[in-house]
Amino acid sequence: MAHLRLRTAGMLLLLSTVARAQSTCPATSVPFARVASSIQHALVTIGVPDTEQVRTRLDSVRSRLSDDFAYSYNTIGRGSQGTVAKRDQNWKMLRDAMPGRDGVFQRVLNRLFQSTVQAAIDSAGIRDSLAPVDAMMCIARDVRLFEGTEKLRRFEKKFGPGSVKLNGLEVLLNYGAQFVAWPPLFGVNADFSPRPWEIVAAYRTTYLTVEKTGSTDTKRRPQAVSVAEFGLRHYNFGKDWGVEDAGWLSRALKPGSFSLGVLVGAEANGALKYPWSGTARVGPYLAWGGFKVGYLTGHDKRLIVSREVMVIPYLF
Amino acid sequence: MAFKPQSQAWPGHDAVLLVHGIGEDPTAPRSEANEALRSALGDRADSFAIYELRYDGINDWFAEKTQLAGLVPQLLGFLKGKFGGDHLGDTVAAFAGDVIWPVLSLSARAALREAFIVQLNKMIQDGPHAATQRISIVCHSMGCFHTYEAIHAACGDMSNLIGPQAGVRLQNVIFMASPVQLIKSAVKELGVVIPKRTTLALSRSLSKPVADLNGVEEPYVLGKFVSITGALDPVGGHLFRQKLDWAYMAVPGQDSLIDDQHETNITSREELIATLSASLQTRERPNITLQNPHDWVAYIDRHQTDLRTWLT
Repeated sequence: MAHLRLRTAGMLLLLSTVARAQSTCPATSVPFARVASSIQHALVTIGVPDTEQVRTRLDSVRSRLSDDFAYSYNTIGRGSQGTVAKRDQNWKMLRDAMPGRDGVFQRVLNRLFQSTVQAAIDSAGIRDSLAPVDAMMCIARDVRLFEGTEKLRRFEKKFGPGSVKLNGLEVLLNYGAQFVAWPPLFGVNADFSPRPWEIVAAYRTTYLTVEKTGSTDTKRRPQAVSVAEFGLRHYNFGKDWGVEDAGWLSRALKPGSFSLGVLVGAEANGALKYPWSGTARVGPYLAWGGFKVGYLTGHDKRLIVSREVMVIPYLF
Repeated sequence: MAFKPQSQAWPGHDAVLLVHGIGEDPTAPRSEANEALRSALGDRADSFAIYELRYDGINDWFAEKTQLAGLVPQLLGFLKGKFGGDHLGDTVAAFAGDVIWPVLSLSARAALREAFIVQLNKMIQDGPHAATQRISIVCHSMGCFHTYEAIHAACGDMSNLIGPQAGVRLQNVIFMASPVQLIKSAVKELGVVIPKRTTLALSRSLSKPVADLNGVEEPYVLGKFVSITGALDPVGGHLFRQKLDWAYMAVPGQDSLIDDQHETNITSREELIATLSASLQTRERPNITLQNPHDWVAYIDRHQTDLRTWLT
């Protein structure tokens, strides 16, 4: 319990430095104790027979929380910092105590929200006494809204206009990958949020290298190199990554995605070459945002560079 | 463009969420369906908060990234066979395939479902009080599929906070030209091709949504659960006045209305005589227009009295 008190104290200390997100809730903080007592009072007043069972369940929930635990909108404000929210213990405690997540607490709420109980509450004229519950539900809904808009932001990052378009083969492979349960890389998570990976299987004819074109040529000239790329692309879901209207340096250092994998290159350089013609060259590649670099091994080792671009949309 | 749920102050205790079909997302602040609904509500319109679920942008993400709609020959083959295999049937099948391809993508389904849940949460948040406010949903075409999935998700997953486990009930749900059964049949036919099809509510027997509150089954929809379609609307399960059982949504306990539609705006011999006579007098072209049996505004206009009765 001491460590919970410490975490709560830490949360309170941070309140003064946290930027408040906007809220239309009637209260930005409501202690669990007030929520529990208002539920208990309402059910006793209307005379439901199982109030003792409700009290036992509420005590069970209370024992898992810190003494002064409160549903607090300020914790949502801190949670809005993207990946920080995952590691924030206070945010996690808030989430886990939310309606719909704590099974024991939900049974209490189920009882409260049964239509017969709600009708009795209205008949008794004690609707206002449940204001702490209303305040908690409002904050809970703000948390749900935050999570929902975050999920949609991630879907947009992976599938929206700024994402890499897929060719027909990639569409088929990624469609099939939805059925792959393990490793859990593709499709969606159990909470329907997107997983960050997708399969890359593309033909690219826009890589460049430098090469002397003739035996008497003293200068190296740029040459196209055609390759097949096979790998995985990872979308960076952090809020600071892949921001379209950020500066060029920020976009370069924190792109919306990266990919890595294997290249198969044609025996000879040149555009529009079949990668497996002759003795194919193989090597790794890395794409950091729109910039790509690869290294072909074999009889003609060389470094190749490119940008993420489709010459013919949805094809290559 | 990032999805942003609509938010507004409620003038009273009533709100309606309009869920449009694919391609019906307007650029104007209010859609034609919104205006038609306000007209139906008449002098009560000002007491309603009317929201619109704008999800075409999300559809566009997936359509433009994957072109998945073009990779469904099996889907099209199934639909063509069902719709008769002739040119009209092929055209109808292509249209139907265009609207139902999102079921093939887990991510598309998840994103669209999430947008619905976020919008409904925002509506509840905007309203005066979850226990006393009245929310109705009026949906059309593919919007009916998203609605059906969302209202079942509301009852099945309490962490969404939009169902009876969070003290929320809906007043009415009105489906117009619903392809729910059409999609259900396609999902069943395609079988394993549909990823995680058991997570689709329509993979189970069609039903009104109910929530389990400690062993007590509570309905999510307190008022009307209505399915309206037209005798000429293939998306709603009719092909030239013939009901297609494999495509017509029949949820046990629903109120079913089938509109008597006509190919043109002329619905009787008398109307034709009057139209031609007027044309002779004014020396203008006779006003004979083709009717779109799937048009949402037309559905709303035909049911103005019903909507006003149900929603108020």
